[in-house]
Amino acid sequence: MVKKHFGDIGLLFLLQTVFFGLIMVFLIVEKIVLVLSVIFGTIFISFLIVKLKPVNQFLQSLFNKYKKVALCWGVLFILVLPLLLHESPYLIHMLFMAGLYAVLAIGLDFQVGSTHLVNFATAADYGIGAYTAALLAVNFGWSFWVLLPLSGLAAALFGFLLGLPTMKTKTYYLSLVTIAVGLIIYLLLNNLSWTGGPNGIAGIPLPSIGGFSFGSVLNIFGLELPFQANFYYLILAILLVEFIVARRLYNSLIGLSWNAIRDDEIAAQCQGINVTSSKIMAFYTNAFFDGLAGAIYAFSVGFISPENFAFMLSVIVITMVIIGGMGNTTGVIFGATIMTLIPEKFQVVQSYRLWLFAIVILVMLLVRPKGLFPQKIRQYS
Amino acid sequence: MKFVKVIFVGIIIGTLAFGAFELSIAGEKPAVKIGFIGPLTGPNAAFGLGARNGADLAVKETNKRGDAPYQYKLVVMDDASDPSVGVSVATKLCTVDKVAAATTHFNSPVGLATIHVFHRYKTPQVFWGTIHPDITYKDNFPEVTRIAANTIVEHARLSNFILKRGYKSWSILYDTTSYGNSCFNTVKNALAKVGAKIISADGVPVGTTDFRPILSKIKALNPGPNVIYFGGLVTEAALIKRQMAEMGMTDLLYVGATGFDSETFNKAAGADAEGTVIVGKKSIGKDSPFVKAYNSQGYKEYYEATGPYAYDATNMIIAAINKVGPTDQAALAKTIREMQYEGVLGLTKFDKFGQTETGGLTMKVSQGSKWIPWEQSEYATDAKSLPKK
Amino acid sequence: MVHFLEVLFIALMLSSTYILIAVGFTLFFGAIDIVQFAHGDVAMLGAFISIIFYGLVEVSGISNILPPWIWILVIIIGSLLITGALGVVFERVVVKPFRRSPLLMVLVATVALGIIVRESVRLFYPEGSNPQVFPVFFPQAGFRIGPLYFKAEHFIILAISIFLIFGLMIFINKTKMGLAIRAISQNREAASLMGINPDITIMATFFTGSLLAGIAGVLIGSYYDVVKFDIGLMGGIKGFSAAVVGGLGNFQGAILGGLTLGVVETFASAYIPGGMPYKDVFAFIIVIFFLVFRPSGLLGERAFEKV
Repeated sequence: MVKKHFGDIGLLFLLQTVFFGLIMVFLIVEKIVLVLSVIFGTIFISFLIVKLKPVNQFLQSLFNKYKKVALCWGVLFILVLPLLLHESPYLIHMLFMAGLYAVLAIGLDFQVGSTHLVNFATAADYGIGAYTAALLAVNFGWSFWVLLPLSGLAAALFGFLLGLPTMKTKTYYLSLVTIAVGLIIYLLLNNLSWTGGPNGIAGIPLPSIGGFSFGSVLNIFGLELPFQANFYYLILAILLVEFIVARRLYNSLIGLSWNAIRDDEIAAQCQGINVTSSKIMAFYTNAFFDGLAGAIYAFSVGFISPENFAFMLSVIVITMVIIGGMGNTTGVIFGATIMTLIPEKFQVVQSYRLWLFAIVILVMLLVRPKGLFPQKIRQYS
Repeated sequence: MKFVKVIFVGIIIGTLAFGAFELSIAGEKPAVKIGFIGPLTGPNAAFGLGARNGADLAVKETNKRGDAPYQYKLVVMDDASDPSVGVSVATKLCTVDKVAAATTHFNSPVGLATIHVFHRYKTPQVFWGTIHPDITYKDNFPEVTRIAANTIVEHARLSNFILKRGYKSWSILYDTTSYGNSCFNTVKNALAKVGAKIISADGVPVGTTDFRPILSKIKALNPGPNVIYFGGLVTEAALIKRQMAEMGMTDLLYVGATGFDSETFNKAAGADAEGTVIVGKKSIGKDSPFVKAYNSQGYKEYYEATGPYAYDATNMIIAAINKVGPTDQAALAKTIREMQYEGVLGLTKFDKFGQTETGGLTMKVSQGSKWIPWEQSEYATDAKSLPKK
Repeated sequence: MVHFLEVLFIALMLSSTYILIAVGFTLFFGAIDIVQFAHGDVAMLGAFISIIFYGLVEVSGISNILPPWIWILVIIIGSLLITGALGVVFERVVVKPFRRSPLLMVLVATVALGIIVRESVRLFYPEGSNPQVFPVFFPQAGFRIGPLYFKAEHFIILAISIFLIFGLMIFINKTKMGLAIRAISQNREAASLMGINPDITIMATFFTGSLLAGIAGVLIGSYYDVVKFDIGLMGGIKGFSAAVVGGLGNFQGAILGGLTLGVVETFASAYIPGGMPYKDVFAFIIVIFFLVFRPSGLLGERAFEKV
């Protein structure tokens, strides 16, 4: 009995470690043939897992039984990653960017995954958070720690206002309103003089905690981590908060309401759910986290411009949610990570980068139409 | 069940082993790396690709000649005209590829973001493009130099030239990117200095195809302008000229700066391009060694206006590295700054902010669907005359 | 007054370019409930294909043998057929696999398709990153009425657009295939029970829609004389907006939506001082305004109203 336990835990351990190893390899390889083989190999393997029912069931039961072990090992890996990569500020920076996009994607998942509301205004929320932080920091010298929640609130206010007119509009009409708003915000940021125009805002200072500047090297266990690691841990903290909020919401009445609205809006109304306020809540919750991410981005790069918040960004975040798996937070994080890393790995093919990326997206969608980690069906215990 | 487990584990381990194997045999011939960043995708891809090919040509020629103490390798990155991508790839060049120096960027916002990265890692950065003064004049980082023309000098030249020929009333159009805005601000000041009158000024978004509404507005102005200036790039410039002709505005002179100094403008505007005047980059004739060498390499893309700039920038970097070696980056930055280089663009030397002063400017006119230097054109001899209201 | 008339005509032409794209979205949405995000890029493809055909005709010397109107017609019809066929291919690869999946999947898949089409043109067409001159298909004779300049080409473009839109409406409402499309848009299962093959009908819808996109590409290319690989993105968004504002699935709505967008944009550029950089802001604010007060579009959402 004990032997079986150990055997199973050991196998779980091994599978996870191999998976992490695969991630490390993917991060490090340069040659396009290798990159493509890792990508398509992973897609193929995940395809196999789904098709081979016994394998599928076995893996699911394994992970369910030893959820805590798997979780601990996974979290440890994520925390230790910068230490493993301490020679490469670039890779840590890319993981930081992946974390940023994961925050955006989970936020969007509140709306898309839970209520099937398609919101194309992610870039607008993100931009408002970033510009609020940047303008106040550069013009009035406010501290990052004040600006972080403030930017979240500013974006949430915007999200709330965006949610209002959607009370009556549905599906595609709602999407169009969000597309329109996203484009309007971009145009305003680009053309108004006090937003810095197309040249954006430069000179945003690095944040600091009690004397320790985020621009300085981080010393852990005798290893010197490049400054990008500071931002990596910061975004991990935000991601953790968001993850907990997502779990809480999912298990709460609000989460149930969102799912009910998604399944049948009229039936939900009949059940007494206030559809309007539920929908609006989805908007401003999403916007709040987008705003936080925006502020962090502004402070990490020190320079923002309207180009960072163009329409395509919203589309990419939607793609991340869909590829990762709508309604599945872990899946969305994974989707965000691979969708951030893959275009970077494709730099090696230069001009063909975007083209190849779109092909990979299409292949992923065709092979896994429900997303890499599909939405779990609610378990009513 | 157990069998499936084994197969599964086997596949994963197999993939990893293959990866590890490839990693171990991947060794690179020691060579000095020079970075290149430019927009290789997106709306400005034509300029980025032309520049990349120019830089590539410089490296290939150096390696072929074999007279340098080092072998050179160009590491190419796409910034997609996006500042956040620019920052990522700049970080990669400095920390992963550990380039000795890099030549970068077409779009100013991207440059404004990456100068901080190159400064942090003390890697010399020679700009082959971008226009915004802040890139050199604001922080004056010792790593930064810019070989691309100085917009203030450009527009001073243009305004003087056009005004001397009696065109005093200007309507200004500019695109709403960083480039267009810089053009607008500079031309505004230059025109004020020479006493011209600005009758109207309008921004136009990039990607606009229909300029007829704004041209209609200009047509209806009373008093109207006798010259229309456009601060922007090739596609919009060509569309504007075509639509001007369509709407009967052929008595207005059309002028611009180096932004549409490209034969693509003449191709796209067709016969309507005739009589357009710009302040352009140094004219590189078809028989020049650069053009011959470029064509013999068989690049898929045209060198555009940016190719020669990237070519000279890369050659300057190579010359500096040949002199002081690739490892002392501070010495490298200093050497580049103090260099006086005779290249395709003529003589390049930098002021104390790292900005080049002339960049080989020439007044050009579109004649027979080609850009001809003014002095060599039939307009200069009055065989043909510019539109006059 | 003269200036006003000129601006009005410009608005009309611009609106017709939007309407041409919008009716495609309306067709796809009305028939099979999908938003084909790559529709604008298919139109761009149609334009490029006709440029290639034109090049072939020139090289082969046919243009010297036959009178212009024959080979121009051949080029245009040829490009349309190919664009239509490509549309069917796109449907098989990118739309059909997601028939049982949530609607969002098709949306993202067509976005990816749009990128692939755009980048393929940019990468594989010679000097694809640069603007391309569009061949002259229609008489360029210009004439003046006072200070107003017109070109014969403009009227031809308008005429063809009107003809097309009415042709589409007749196709949907009076032909057997149109009946099939309407049937599956109402109830796919019932229609198949009645002997209509949904698969073939959907392919026909995509063929028609893409053919429309192809001709939109040719007309837009002729109007601007210049095309570039990225004109499909914004064009698609504007077309989609026009279709939605008018009411998705409703052809008259698409016309109204296109007119609204075109007029607001043009008048904002021509009359509001400093308005041109914000022309899209004005247009989209109007879009939002209409959607808030008429949530199902100006003329409401219908599954193909009779003409």
